[in-house]
Amino acid sequence: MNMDTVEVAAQTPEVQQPYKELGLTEDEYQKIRDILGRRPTAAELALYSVMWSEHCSYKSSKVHLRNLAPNEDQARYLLAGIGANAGVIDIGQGYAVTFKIESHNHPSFVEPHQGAATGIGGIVRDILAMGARPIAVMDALRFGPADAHDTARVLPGVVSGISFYGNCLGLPNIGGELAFDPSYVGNPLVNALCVGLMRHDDLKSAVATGTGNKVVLFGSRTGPDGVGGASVLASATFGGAELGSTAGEGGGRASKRPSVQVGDPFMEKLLVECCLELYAADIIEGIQPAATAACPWTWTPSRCATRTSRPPRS
Amino acid sequence: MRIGVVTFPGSLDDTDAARAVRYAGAEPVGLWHADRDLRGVDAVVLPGGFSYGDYLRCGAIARFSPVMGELIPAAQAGLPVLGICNGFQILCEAHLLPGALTRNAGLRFIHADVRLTVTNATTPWTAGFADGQRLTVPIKNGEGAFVADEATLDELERTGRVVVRYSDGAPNGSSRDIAGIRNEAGNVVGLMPHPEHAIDALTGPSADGLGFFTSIVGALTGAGA
Repeated sequence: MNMDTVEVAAQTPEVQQPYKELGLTEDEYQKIRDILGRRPTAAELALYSVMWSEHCSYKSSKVHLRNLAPNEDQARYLLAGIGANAGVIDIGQGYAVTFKIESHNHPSFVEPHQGAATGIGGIVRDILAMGARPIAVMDALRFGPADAHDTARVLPGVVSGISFYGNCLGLPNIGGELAFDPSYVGNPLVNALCVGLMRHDDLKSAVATGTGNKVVLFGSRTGPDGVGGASVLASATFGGAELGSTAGEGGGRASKRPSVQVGDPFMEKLLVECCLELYAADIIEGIQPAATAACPWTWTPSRCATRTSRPPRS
Repeated sequence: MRIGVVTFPGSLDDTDAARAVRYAGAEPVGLWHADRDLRGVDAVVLPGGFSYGDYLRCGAIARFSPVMGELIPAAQAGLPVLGICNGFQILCEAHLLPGALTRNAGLRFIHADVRLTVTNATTPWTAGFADGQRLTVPIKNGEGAFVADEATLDELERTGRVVVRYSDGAPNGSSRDIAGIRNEAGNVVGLMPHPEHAIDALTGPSADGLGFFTSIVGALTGAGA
């Protein structure tokens, strides 16, 4: 098998690449070529497609998120702010809370139960990655009219997914929001929040420096479910043909279902306890949740040798 | 007084169980599922949660863990053991208690504060209660319906082995409104409700659950252990 290396890519600029299937626009693909001064290799293209997905880069939300920058008074209490996996706020006596809310709309639209369940799973890991023990979850939901056919299709699964996953992790669901409005027809919103408690000293970051550190990928097994979740699913528009916008039309939506990951809350419970033990043993330089874009590239290492002892199960 | 609290992979309520032991004036001792070692404790609590993700059946796998390899003969020899929720399920799977816990009638997970009636105050876990005493304790289960054949149920009733009953009817379809039972010798008790979540009015519906833990401390102290 011929590997698509940097040398090969530089010598074969005319090769057609599946950037559209990976969720990149024409403009974005051209930008990648401009940045690299050549076409990307297959691996580089995949890398860009996840890192530039809406889910990973928030490219369309950034302009709005900038309005939420803290003022000086608020910044005093911030131990970690925008850019970290979750905000961390001093609550006095050496304690801090960390919490974050994130959407999981597209997966929940396609596969309500698993989409919403893994939304909880992901937000819990973000809190865990700050060095805190997750202690509770919340959810904010928006659906089309209560009597709409698609609401009946999506709502029960979303509720069961959130409640099932959080329950298995031992996290109480301490509150939420629910609203029905025609503006959400075919465009449900599923937002999951997690809050964690920690001491100031527990703060972890996704930055690690120094040589000789090992990079360890650990957690649930990698299977065929969830592949393309960020690049294909999160970047697609609701109304587009890719997601099958009309109720009852199975083709588009059903074909995207494998891009929704199947959650394993039991494994995540073990992950939570394992991480907290690792933190207590003080052997972690940095930690990054890698659910979306789950490959060693999220570390963007400048020089990093990778050695997989066992390849992901396919 | 040292009371062991076992942690299985997936246990959720071990921390609260340990806190309840502390509140009752004893020292909680963490027991790891993979260790064949009870660390010389005076009693053991099997806590609630989803040991092994409820794989196959609730408690079906935990029952074979190394710590249970030590616990089962110890319980048969008289060591006091309290199984709460998933712990109750594990005790039934281990045949330390008769019957089984099955899917709730109505098939829904229930989380509620329920009223319980203590119907046997002779066990070391309930000796601090009065016969017929009412308690308010949370339940949270999806597989909390106690079942057994009619002959077993009759025998449990006849020999006073029903320890706690749901005062207002079992919300989960448990036979004969049974919320907790004991073994013949009385040292092993299984409870579906969670007393460890009702030890302090600040964080629970009442402090009624503390009685299970102060009972065992009293019983062990009285025995000069």
